[in-house]
Amino acid sequence: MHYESWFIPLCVAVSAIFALAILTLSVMTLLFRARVNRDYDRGR
Amino acid sequence: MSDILLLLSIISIWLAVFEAILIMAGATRFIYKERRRPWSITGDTSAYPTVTVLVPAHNEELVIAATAENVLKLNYPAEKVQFIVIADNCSDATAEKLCELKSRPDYAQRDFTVLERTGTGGKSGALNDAFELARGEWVCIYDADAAPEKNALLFLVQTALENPQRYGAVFGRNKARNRGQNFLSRCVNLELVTAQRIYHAGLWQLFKVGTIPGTNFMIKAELLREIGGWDTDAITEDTAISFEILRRGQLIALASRAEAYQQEPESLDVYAKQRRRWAKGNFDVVLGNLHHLFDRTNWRVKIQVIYYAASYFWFMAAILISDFIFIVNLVYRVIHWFRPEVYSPFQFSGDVYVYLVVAWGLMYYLYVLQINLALATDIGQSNTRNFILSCISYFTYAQLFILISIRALGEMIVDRVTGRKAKWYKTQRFG
Repeated sequence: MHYESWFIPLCVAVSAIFALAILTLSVMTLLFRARVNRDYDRGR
Repeated sequence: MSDILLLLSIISIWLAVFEAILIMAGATRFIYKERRRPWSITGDTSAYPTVTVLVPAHNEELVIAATAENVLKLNYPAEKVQFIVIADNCSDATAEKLCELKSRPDYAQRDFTVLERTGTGGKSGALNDAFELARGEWVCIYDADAAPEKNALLFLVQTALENPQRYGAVFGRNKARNRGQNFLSRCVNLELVTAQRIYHAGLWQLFKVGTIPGTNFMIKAELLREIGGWDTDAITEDTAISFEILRRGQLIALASRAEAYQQEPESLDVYAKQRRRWAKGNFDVVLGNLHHLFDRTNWRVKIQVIYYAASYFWFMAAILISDFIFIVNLVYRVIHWFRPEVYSPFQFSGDVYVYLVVAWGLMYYLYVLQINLALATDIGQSNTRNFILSCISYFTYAQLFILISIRALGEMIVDRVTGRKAKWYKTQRFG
């Protein structure tokens, strides 16, 4: 099968977009965690 | 053939990853907005509707008195609450405990009924019988092990009043009260927090789609009458009724501040029985509603069908196939070291196989991330222990869920072929 010529660039593009989205969500997670700790757990 | 399988697996995992990212983005938006929204537990309650609270109980002597007391102490005008507990086919002291509670002077003035029942139909049958006595404009359900937070009903009602024409039902957020008991209950807690904070919040934010969770929710009495009450043939009556509400163009709104604690299974056999019932019930409801994908039914029903079908059939099949390819290749790689002439039957051209591993890696990272995002928004849950647990639960607890779903699928096929009627198992309580 000769699908690699289009499938591998597609894999790279999709993986890169997902990685970016996941990175953003990771930052949001840390932000929420910091806020909840600050507001309710008094930083302990 | 193996190339096609590989490609289908990769694309399916991408779709699963995309779905998870989309729902997490929706949940993030919901949580952000929720934090900024003011809330009040005081004010004029004269315009608040009357509510009938139903609690079905089948041999629940261990927990029922505490649950009933929690309901009676809810912060809601007492004259607007009708409370009915159904002692359904009880062979223990459930009814006695309730009568003892009812006779206390504190509750003498309350509209409190203990309905002793011996009919059929399980939880649905019990709810239908009690619903005949209901006089409230809304009907609220708590399971017999529920411990609703003091303002839970108030928050449900406040959300309902935001859009009384469109909201046919409102559901709150359930938490595990026995989450620290053992490894299983800790994992169930992670699943529950993720379902409530990510999936419920995300689906509501993105599509205004909700699913009734079986407890800690209320539904308009008039709508419930129109639907014809609870379906006694459905194994998961909550999912079945959710589809009925959506089909009528009404919404099931999320009131995430309405919190209630519930007991989760602490032993593997209780857990397996409960989840097999859920999986079978959800398979049944999805297959029963599959035809709505192709008719003119409300688009939210289609979203729900696609969501359930993807979660229980498509993505699960993709994960199983990719896991199988991954493990076979790993085993053959080890064999190949000792016997160089032996090769795996799954030989792929170029670097495509690498991208299966990348897709799998993304999926794993996202699995851990969504749990930790959910934990981060909950007070006192985002700690090192839960983080480690979220990392290892993919290889333990999540695989258990897959095995249970496969068994449930098998049982459902046998039920359908032989015409056997599925049994309704009550989840065992722990004292």
